Amino acid sequence: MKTLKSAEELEVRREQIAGAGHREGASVAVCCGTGCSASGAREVVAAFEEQLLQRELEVPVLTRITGCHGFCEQGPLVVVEPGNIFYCRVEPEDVPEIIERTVLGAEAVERLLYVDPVSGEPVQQEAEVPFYRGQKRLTLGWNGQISPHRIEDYVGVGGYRALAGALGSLSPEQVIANIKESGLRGRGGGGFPAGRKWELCRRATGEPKYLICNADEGDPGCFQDRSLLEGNPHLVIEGAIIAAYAVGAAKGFIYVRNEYPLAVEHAGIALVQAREWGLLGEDILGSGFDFELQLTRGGGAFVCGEETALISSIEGLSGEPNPRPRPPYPVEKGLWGKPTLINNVKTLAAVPLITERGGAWYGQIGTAASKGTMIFSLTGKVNNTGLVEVPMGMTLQQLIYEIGGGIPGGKEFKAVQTGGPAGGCLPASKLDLPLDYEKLTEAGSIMGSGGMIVMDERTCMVDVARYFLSFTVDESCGKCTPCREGGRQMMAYLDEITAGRGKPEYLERLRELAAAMQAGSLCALGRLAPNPVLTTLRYFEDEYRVHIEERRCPAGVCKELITYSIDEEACTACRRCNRHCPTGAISGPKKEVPRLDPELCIRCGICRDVCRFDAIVVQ
Amino acid sequence: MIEVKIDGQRVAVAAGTTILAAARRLGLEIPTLCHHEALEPFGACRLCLVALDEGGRQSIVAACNYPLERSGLSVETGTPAVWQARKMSLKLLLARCPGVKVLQDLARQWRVDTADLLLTGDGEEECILCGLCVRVCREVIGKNAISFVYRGAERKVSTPFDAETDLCLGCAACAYLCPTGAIKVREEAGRLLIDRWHSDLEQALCSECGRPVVPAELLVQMREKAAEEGVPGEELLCLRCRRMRAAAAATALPVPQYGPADSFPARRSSREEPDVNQARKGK
Amino acid sequence: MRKQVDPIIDRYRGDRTAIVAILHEINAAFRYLPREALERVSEQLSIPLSHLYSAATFYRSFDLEPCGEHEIQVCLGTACHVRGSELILDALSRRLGIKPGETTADSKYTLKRVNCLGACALGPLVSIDRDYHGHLTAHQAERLLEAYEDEDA
Repeated sequence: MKTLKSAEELEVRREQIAGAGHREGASVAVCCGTGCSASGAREVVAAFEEQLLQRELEVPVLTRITGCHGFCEQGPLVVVEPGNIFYCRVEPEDVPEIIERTVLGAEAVERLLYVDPVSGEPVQQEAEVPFYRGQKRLTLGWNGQISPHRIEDYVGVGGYRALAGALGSLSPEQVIANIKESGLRGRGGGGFPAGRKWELCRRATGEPKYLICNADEGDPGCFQDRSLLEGNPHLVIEGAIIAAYAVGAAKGFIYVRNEYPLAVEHAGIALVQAREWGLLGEDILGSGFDFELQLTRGGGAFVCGEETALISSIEGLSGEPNPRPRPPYPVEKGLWGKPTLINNVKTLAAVPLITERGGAWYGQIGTAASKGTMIFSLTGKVNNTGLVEVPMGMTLQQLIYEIGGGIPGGKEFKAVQTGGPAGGCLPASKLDLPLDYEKLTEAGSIMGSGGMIVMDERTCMVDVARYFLSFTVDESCGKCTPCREGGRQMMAYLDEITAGRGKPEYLERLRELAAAMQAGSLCALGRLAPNPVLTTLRYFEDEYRVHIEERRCPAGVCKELITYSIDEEACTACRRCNRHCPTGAISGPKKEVPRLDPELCIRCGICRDVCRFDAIVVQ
Repeated sequence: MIEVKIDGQRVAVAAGTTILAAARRLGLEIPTLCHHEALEPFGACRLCLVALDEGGRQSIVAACNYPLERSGLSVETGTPAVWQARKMSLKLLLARCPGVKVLQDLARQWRVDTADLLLTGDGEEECILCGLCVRVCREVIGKNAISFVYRGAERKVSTPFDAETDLCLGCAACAYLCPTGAIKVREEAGRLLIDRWHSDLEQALCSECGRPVVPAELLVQMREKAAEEGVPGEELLCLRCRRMRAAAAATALPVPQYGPADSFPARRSSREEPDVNQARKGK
Repeated sequence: MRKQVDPIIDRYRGDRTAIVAILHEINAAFRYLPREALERVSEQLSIPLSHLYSAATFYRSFDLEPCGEHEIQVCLGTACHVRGSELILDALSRRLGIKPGETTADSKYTLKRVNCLGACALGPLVSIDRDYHGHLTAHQAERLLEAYEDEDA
């Protein structure tokens, strides 16, 4: 592959690809993101490849692998031309029929189409699926169209054009001015204006400057960074190069979570390609700008998402990551004491588009202070789970009901947790809340990294608070007293409450400890860790009180406060529960409703899993 | 130079001076447990919290490692919010290490008790994770014999693989700086033992009385260093014999470098104490 | 030991940022971090052993005891949690007779909890040797394990 030496050469290459890549007739695109792969997408790809080959077609039909579409719940997802027909939950057994009827016959296989749960009608095109209809997929949109392994695909849809434009005709100051005008704010949690951060880094003294792409997506329940880096790594790389040009960074790191093997692999391949094409390294596109970018794997530590801990993790100096207070800010003194720009994957992914289409254009999207789109991981007790990219300012209601399709099983919405372990739980009364940085903060939560976990009446809010706190306690580095010791003490109170041994004054103790952690912790992990406890106390104090005063878990979750029993009406005495009970708690003569001994029952839930008649009751 | 206000008093300091250093210049008392002048600031114990006002934006920060970068900043060292946060830090440390005297004393003084906390230690734990030992071993001695291991509630200070390490020379600088007495150094049958680090070291003997004076390997390394710097090697004497000779020669007693003279008399002569500045330069 | 460790060390000579990367490779090669391997790294690259041990114990990706042939990770991310992943962890733990973080006596299985595998739409999720199995119930998790046991038998 010949190295590209100018923007013109890139354009010529793009035209070549677009010309060659335009296939008359048929093609099959299979999503092979982590979600779809887990659901068997690789087998589907293999089946297509093998069977299409066997057919010995006159015009060969290409089987393409694409990045994550974000609708993981319905995977494996397949898009077939002609007709751009969108199939869900495809299995290898479905492949012959798809080839026969859609690839060759140009008609849809109805049973594999997505069925709109509201209208009950099958939907043929991906864009018409209600999950996608309300979205504005500015950054995620390409994932489903290109193969993450092929730089040609990315260049073919206009990739690296923004970079070429910036290097060719914009000064670094102009690139920064554009980002400032767009109003883009940090998408990793802080929400700090990106243009301002770039400007501070540009003006900081010290050489060389560094850039870090923070892909250490640690928030449990978030996977947008994974999806972007895995599904469209060149988008992130292009954003990083533009950012490096703007601030004058000579070297950069993409710090990826080790728990994302596919993202590590795809980003690694993409970096090699970008180097081969002359988009990284010396004299990028003949502009005289040099920038080197390398991949660094995290070691499995949430605290490394925090900028100063991330820096010390890359430096590797004392082995453990070591968060330190700010100032000095990393833009002034970061990696090895040099000015360092740290941006989240989502922030950098928005950069090529803003650079190409202009800050003013991006600034029109969203609300007054929160511009553009945000990608949320919509998960939990919601019908359509997956990645959702929407304009800022959309309400929770719209997101959960119109895009998410509401709560499954006709259950009642109870709460939504935004912002991951540093965020908070919002109740039904906040469903009208528009999603922007300030509004979420006012309500006691945060935008954070875009986690959005929906909870229904079967979710216990005390358990959720305990879950998040146990996460941050587990992930605390242990350096400062309030976070290490305070978190542990808070856990003890929550353990007691969920075990039915709570006392009314415990709620006050929790609030005191939370206040101390917020005020006194060294880094953001500790300062934000109490948020889930505080918001559940604020909006769901009644539920805590029921646990304490009535020794009862209304949602039926807290193990020590629930009992299992058998509904004699519903039970058919099939004895399935009896056979599977791991402790012998279920017994009794044949053809009779078995007895469940509460003393032996360990509330493992297996009887409820295996019962085909909904006869196991949890109270 | 920049000018800031601390507790209403104006003070001019060089940009980058920490709040703690600036406050001490004014004679203001700020409590610390993990701070030492000779070491990099760490910010772990959170006893030195103060209230910072940056042109209206208020926050609680640790005085020991917050650098004052520009004029106009205002610091209050004793607001109710500051005391609330400090007391909670102390309370949490006391709950972890109820047997530690320095914490008990502060708690009495600040009227803090741990009665309403659910988790209180049994008194076994004496380490408050201030990291002075780790840092002195790294920054001053340059040996890195110990480090923080594990994380969160399991965090502790230990040697690699929690086993004996030949990097520990027995200089006992860690024990000397430890504010809680968690690191115990003892002598047994002529050997120096630091149980916490699994160190069991042979001692060199006083050429006069034959008493063990200093770990042999430490002596070797100190003499090497002295030789490099052109300082002639000296006969090894314990403090008592040295004093006797000195008295006999009617010259002044060597002045102990720091600390009370009763803790480790054997290694308290000024010649043998590793020189802070030299060690740092040599790193 | 040296035959396996030295090439890894050589790849990272002069790279200041390499501690975590080196530990990843050693952990992958030995299925844990043998003490002798870390001592070799320390000696060859002049990285204090205490720093290597600090990183080895701090980060969750590393093992200080040999892992079993199969690595079972139970995702405890939020989406998995609200859909009952604790029950799955309990079931596997009971079934294998080990606690999370431990390895079975026959060195076949290591059970781990992981804070999020990032396939949240598929929760509750278990990965065995990096193959993901989604939408599990406690019962199905037991069956999944049986399938592995049968294969090995």
